[in-house]
Amino acid sequence: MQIHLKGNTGFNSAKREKEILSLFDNRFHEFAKNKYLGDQDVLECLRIKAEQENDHEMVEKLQIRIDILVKGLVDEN
Amino acid sequence: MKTKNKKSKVNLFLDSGAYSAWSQNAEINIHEYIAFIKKNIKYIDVYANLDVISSDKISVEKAAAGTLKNQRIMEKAGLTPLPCYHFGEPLKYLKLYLKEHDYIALGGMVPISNKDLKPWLDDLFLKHLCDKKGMPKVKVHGFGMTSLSLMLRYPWWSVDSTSWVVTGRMGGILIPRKTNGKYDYNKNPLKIAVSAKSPATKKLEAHYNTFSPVQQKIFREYFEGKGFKLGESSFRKVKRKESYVLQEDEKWNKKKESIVETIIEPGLCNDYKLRDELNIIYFLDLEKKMKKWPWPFKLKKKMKGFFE
Repeated sequence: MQIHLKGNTGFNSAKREKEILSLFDNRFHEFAKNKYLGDQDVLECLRIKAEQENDHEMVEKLQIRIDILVKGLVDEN
Repeated sequence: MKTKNKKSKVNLFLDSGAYSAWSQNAEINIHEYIAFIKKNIKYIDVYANLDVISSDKISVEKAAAGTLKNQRIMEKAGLTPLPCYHFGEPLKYLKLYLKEHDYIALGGMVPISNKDLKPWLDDLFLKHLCDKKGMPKVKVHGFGMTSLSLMLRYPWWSVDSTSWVVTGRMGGILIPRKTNGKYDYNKNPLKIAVSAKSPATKKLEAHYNTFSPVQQKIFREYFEGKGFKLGESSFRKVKRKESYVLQEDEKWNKKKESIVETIIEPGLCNDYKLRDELNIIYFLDLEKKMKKWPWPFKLKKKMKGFFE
């Protein structure tokens, strides 16, 4: 059974904030490595989109998240 | 630097937020919802129908018809939302959804007591959602299914819960109980307040500080085993709060009363993010300990008395 951890991940919250990003971001903080979050490709797509829209604050936030994710995936070899 | 190919799959379940909107007297525009899904469809694995919730003004029958109408609007727009059947609605709606879908959701359960939910769910799983052997015929999602006993009783494919965030924000952490020295996820977890600011700090066996040293050791073993520390804070009153500049390790506890919290050691007692993370871990562990879907639902026969 899958337990979906809800909390500001619904449509209402997404509307209030930065759309889809809030679905990934809300309340999970640096927990990007767990399965509910953190596909690097998705985050990078969002970062590119934010760059195009000159949303520097969002670019910075996403970069932090990508860095955390990559750090978790780095192969020591 | 190379990255491993083991990327975590994003598992996104989009709830329409209809229940939250209903509880706040707000309305969701279905066309906005459709546009939102279409815009973000590649990121979303499952999205729910925009359900209509019954109230004093809307009868259960009307709500069920409204929910079905929304389902059709979304389908006409080219989407395949997860249909939602609510507590107390006429069975014809459930039967219709079962004909058309292999994954459905049950909702409207949050305000209903377990005593009333159990016979309703027993009946649904026994007669409609499972076959003669008790095996689930479809995947079933339980909206707001936070009761552990009901979570374990039925072969849900998925459920959702806000307990991880609610508990953390109230200053608490979830700790599994032990049976014969092992963590037992079949029992309701203990909710222990750990926040240094919690109003429960003086309540016996409600706050970490008010448990016996032996119990505290048991709790510590759990959260330290998961890589978390309790942490330490101190509190002091400052003069002239308007002109006071907080230091890096300080935050306002009660600004009105000019009380500043100084973080001596960061940990569960002074960082809600850490409490969130520990509570997420509890749910991830609970998920791992559950029976693998599908498994048969069977009602246990009541033992008859000698003279019956």
